[in-house]
Amino acid sequence: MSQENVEVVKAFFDAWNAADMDAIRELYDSDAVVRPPEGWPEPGPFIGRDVVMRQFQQMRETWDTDAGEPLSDFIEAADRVVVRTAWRGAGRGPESTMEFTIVFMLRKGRIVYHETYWDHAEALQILGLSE
Amino acid sequence: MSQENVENSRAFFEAWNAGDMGAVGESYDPHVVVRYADGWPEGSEPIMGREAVMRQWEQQREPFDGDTLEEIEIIDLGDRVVTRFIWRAAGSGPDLEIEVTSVATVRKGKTILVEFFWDHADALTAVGLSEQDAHADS
Repeated sequence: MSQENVEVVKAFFDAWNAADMDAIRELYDSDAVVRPPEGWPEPGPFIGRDVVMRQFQQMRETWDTDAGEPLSDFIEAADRVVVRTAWRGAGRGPESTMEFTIVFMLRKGRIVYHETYWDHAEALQILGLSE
Repeated sequence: MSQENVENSRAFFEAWNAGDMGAVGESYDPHVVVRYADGWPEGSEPIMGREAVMRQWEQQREPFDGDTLEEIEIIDLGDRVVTRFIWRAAGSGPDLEIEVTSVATVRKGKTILVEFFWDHADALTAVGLSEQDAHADS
């Protein structure tokens, strides 16, 4: 099951980078919960697929183009998948690169919850994993 | 930290059974999210925020003269605690006895996510455990 979860998360990155928001939507449970990192302008958490998708759209509208690049392996941890990510945006204003670690939680092949940490070591420590 | 999470989980049950809803509320992060099992009487949409969750618990307890949570099994999963328990309630109308398993995710000593499952095996499967694993670890 956990390898299947990794495939779902990889599909998330593929869909994001293809700007296929319908495909992203399909990866989330209807009652999905997304918790942004500490200090994010909109603290959330965002609940429900529609709300989550609106939030993603708003995030992307800031730039002409953006992409998510996995910086680490996709780490399987039972029902969770952890990945260090760079999110790069370009277009209006200065280019931006943010690095954070996303912890995805999946049920029955869908993302039901994801939380984000600025610090990779902190995310791993919380999950009882080490670098 | 994980043993602390288990102790906090037990303290939650004690507070509930003592009717100390202030202490129950204190166990939650202000932005806690509760995800119900499918078919939950109040609907299965998640609830967000400590105040909303506490309102929900108060409403749930209100119809009964008394209710208790009885722990059957508790499993330490690091940042998560799996608890199989029975909610017993009595008072006006028929007595109630519901067995549920919760998976609580804890950050900095506060619960940020609670998921409920009707079926204990489903809960274990969801978190990547089998019943055998669970008993081997407990």
